[in-house]
Amino acid sequence: MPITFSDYDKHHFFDEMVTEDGSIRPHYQALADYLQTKSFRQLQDRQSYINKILLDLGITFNVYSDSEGTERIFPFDLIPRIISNSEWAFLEKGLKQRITALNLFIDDMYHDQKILKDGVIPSDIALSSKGYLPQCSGLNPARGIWCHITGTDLIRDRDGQYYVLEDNLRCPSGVAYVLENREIMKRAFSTLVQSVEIQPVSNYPTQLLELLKFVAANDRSTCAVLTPGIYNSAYFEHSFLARQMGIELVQPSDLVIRDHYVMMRTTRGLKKVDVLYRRIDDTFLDPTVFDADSMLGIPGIFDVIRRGNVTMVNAPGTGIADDKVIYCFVPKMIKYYLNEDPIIPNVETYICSDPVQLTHVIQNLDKLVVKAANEAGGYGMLVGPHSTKDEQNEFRDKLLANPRNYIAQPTLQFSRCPSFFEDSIEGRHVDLRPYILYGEDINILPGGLTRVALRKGSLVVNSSQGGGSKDTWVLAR
Amino acid sequence: MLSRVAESMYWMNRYLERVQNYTRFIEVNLNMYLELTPDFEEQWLPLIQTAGDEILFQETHADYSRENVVHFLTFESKNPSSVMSALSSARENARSIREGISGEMWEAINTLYLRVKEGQRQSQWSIEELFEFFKEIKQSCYRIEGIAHNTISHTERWHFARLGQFLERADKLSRILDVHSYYLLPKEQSKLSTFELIQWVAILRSTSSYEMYLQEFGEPRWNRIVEFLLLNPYFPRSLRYCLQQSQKSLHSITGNDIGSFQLPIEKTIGRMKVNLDYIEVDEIIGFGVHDYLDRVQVRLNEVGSLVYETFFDPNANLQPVISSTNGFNT
Repeated sequence: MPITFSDYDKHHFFDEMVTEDGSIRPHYQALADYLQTKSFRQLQDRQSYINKILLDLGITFNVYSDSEGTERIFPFDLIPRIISNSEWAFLEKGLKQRITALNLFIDDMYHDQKILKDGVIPSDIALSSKGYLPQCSGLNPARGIWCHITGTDLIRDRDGQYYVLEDNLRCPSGVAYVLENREIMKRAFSTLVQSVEIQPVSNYPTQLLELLKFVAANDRSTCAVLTPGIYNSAYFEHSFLARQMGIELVQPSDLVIRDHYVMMRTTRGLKKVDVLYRRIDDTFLDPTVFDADSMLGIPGIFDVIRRGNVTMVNAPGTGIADDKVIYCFVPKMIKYYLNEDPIIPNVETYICSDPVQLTHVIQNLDKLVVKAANEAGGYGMLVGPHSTKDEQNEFRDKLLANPRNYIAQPTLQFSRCPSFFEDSIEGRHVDLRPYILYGEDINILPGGLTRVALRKGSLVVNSSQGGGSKDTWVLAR
Repeated sequence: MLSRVAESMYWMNRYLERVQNYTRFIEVNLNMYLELTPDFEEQWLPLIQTAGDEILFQETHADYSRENVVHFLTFESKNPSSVMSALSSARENARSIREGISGEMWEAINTLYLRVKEGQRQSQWSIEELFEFFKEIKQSCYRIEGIAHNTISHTERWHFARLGQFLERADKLSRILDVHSYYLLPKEQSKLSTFELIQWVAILRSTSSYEMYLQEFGEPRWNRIVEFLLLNPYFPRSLRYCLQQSQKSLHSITGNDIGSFQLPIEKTIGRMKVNLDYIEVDEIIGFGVHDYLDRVQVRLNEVGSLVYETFFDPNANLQPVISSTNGFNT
């Protein structure tokens, strides 16, 4: 039985593939035609084949709460998400604008703080951010770049309009899945992939390496990826990127500080490291400056950073722009630093430290999504419509105790994309995380990671909460 | 290269070699009892003794029955030197240096791991299934070695892996020979009973040396078997060969000339190797096979510690004495 979309239930959501009146959007037509030549049985075979590849290749992530069999494959949905060429051009423009403003903001925050002095952002909010590190004041990262790698989360609401949901300027993960997903699609759906002109993603590691060299002192500089170790949930990605760039993957225990330089221990003694693409959070970098209890860090490395003897990618301190309260001010930053109107809007957000907005939030806990200002990975979050009375009460107490630490947003009707299940195709909510490289130019990996909430009705796309991913195609024309 | 990466290369291969050796021991013991008439009592205790794990075994299993011993040596996660544990350790090491080995090599190790993990969940095994399973493990190990040989640059990283592999092989060879010869060394000269003959042949089989031994000496005689396994310079699983290869890899890493030494580890390995070059099997038998192998064990342990101190110990001298003429670019 061929697979068609005649019975497909798009519900009342915006669907990436199927229009209001049930017809296929033009940029999905080739996919629909292809699926019509396939049966569910054939797709099931493809799905098992893909799962086996993922397992054999060890493309897995670690689940913190799970002690036995801690590695799982990140579920992969074989129906791709497709973005038209013009749509992508618009997103690219919007993301470049946003990241340019954010970089200026971070630099301003650690120098003159003009934006605070001019009253665009209230000082008490900016300076009380957990991500604001006073130790970074006066820091001048190479070439003035703070946020080299960003993974901005975008969503589409019921109207089909794109919104920025989060900025993720610290250590965004997931890009390895983007590259592997494409490889897997190429193997499992060779004919289809060949027939559609898709913008390639495979040169990401090369661009990343160019970026690392760009912020290094010279061409012969030694670059390395810094990982917390094999038990980190994103270890696969750290190792993947190091491998693809052909540079060392180092752990904190491989590094020592000698004479104000970072050195790695090799079999022939110590060797200087110039650039570290670090996948360790700011506060775990240096126990002598930040968290003294941290077992992870490299004592003394912050001093080396300050002296400019090592370049950190991303620079320490970028976390300030990851604060979900600061996020609310990004449209204002764009206006302030660039004198432009924001191209991609923010999601409407309530700042709980404002008493009026707090009251509104507390009265509408059953309708809103409440998020902690500094959590990631879907943790520390209340999805109002899906919550119990007890959970709402718990959050009300938290909000009242520490309003600065929370924001609230309307429960968005994320767009949906057809997804494959054994013997049906059903719509599931998706988001999109493009990866932005800020080096000599700003480069955006075409597409990015589409995460999909595979549990029926779920809005949470995080891998730790039952999410999966899809290959994401940006059409070449 | 990073010291940690070198250490993981070394241990990855040691563990892979261990996986292979344990598989061999079990497989051959299974095989041996198929050939014997039912009135021979199956002896599974020596296998546990080979691994030196009697205490742990008694804690986890009731008696030395075939099922128990096979389970203990193959699947028992509490047993640090079971096939399962050794393979997990090999894979953990490989996983921590995935960027330093080829993708094919990682995939081969990971696939083998997943296969044995799957086997761990199966509660009942027929002998036929076990044979098939062990064969599969051994073949996978050969495959991994082949992939490594052909997809990893033969630089320093390769030699660290080789060093681990041959030191481990030497260690296991000396252990299996020691335990079996304790039971088997004849009271009168060279005439073997059927039971003894079958056991000696089993040792040859477990070291994959049966055919090569016959090529060299024609018929199984225990002193010749001891000679072949300890002193043959060409057979890749003999003790002497293992020491030759360990020494070659060690000096490739340090860049110092073979035939003299700059480092304590070069001295220790060199002396062991030279001893094997110039000793005769009758001298070993005169000295006592068990006592000789005991000394070998002590030396091999010493070498293991020296490898760590020389190359991996983060608190030790960060600049090992190595030749500046070494050609490897790290």
